Amino acid sequence: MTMARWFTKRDREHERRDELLSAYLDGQLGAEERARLEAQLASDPALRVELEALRRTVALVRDLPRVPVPRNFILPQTMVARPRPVLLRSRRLLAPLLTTATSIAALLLVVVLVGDLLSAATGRRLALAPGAPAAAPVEQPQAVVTTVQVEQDAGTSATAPALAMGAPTEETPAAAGEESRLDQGTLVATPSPPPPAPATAGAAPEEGTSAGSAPPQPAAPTFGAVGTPAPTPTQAAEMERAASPATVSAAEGAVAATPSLPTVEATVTLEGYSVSPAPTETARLAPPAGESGEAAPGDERLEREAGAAGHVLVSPRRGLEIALGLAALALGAGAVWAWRARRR
Amino acid sequence: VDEASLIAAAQQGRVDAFNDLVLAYQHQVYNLAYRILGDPAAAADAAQEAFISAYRHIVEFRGGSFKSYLLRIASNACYDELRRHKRRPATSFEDFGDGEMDAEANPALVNGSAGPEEHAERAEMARAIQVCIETLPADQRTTLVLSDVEGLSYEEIAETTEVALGTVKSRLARARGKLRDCLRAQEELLPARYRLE
Repeated sequence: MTMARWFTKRDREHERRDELLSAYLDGQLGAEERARLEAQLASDPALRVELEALRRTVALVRDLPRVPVPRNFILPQTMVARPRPVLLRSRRLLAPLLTTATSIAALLLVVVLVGDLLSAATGRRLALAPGAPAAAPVEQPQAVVTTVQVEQDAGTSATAPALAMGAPTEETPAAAGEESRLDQGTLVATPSPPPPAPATAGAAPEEGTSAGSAPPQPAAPTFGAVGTPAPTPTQAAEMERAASPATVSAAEGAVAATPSLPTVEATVTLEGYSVSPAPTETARLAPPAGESGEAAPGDERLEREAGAAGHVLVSPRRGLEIALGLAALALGAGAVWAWRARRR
Repeated sequence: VDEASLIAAAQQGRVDAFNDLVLAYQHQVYNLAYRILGDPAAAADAAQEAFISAYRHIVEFRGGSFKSYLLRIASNACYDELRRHKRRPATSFEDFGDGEMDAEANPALVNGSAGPEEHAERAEMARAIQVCIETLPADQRTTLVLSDVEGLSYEEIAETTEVALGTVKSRLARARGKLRDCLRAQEELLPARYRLE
């Protein structure tokens, strides 16, 4: 043990000892601790010396003479008008202000949430075939994950995902619009400029390309890198069905925007799926032959990456909702503090 | 007139009511400041500051111990004073016996029955303790003065210094331990009957 460490250890022991002795002098020890210390004192003369020295020290401080005040400290009458510190005044206003702000933030949050839910519901109604049961609303991020899976399962090559990602992040309005077109069984080309890289020769026919004209998102390249073998068509179908029915609208949005989906058939397929999932139809989603066979090992990885993507992708509206929620919480906490401070 | 109604009147802006409170507490406030700062002039400044500040903020006082409220403001004023001047100890051992008439050496302070020799010893002892108090860190110094000079309970000190009870306990123990070690180190300067062992 080095000298320094030895000193530190001894200092700590002394501090601990002094703490016990000091509390003992003030009658601040619990019965058990006191009994233990008294037993130690009985057997340890050095400890008794320390206690005595501490007792004398305290006594000396208590005996210090009181010094007389050199003058009166009374305040002159002229000095003070009514005491109204600025801090206090602002604090009095602060509490109601914060409360109002909290209410406004909460109200806005509710409005945005309701709007979000309504538009999501509308989009779904449009997407589903008439008479199909309305699905229960479900967390959106899940939908994003599903979308990624669908798109990856389809075995798209490096360029396609960039386009695919556009739709789910853009969320319901765009997706709903496209879905409504899908509803009629046709894919309508949107007027927006063509996607940056429809280079997957043969993989993306005209319809797919134009339907996928949603602007590519910055997050997309991550997925573009996923050039791993896709699962077999049946696996894809299973994964899709495993996803909650509520995610269908988003998934369909993605499909609508995915240029890599080989044909119009693919869309029909998904529509078919959303109403009554038929493995055979879904199987038509199959990517170009040759990619489907060796899928199994990459499967887990795909899912993991897709999960990560779900965290990365936050739509503007979701962002707004989170921001509003956090703002409401922070303002609420501030209001509580301000009211308490006022009462003090 | 009881303290509560004086406080209420002061909160209405009545300086005369507040001045009654000043007269009731100025001794305590000044002594606290004097023991923390070790200098009569600085202590008087801190005490005056404390009373002005206490009056300005009196509307914020919402019951509880007025003494704690006042002593809290006073110890904060002392911290400010310490920070402002980065004070070196105002009293030093070199001052011993140079005949300087400070508060400790004022014969009027001491018990009238004491002889001149005993009085001198007491003054010397008081100065030694003050020097040692000034070697303590500000938080320990304040805790020690509140406890052993002002006689506040652990709970009152916790309220005054706005820390947990456990913190009061450990600060006080450290302060007393250091003070004991300091006094031991000066033992040859102290009159025999004031020695610790």
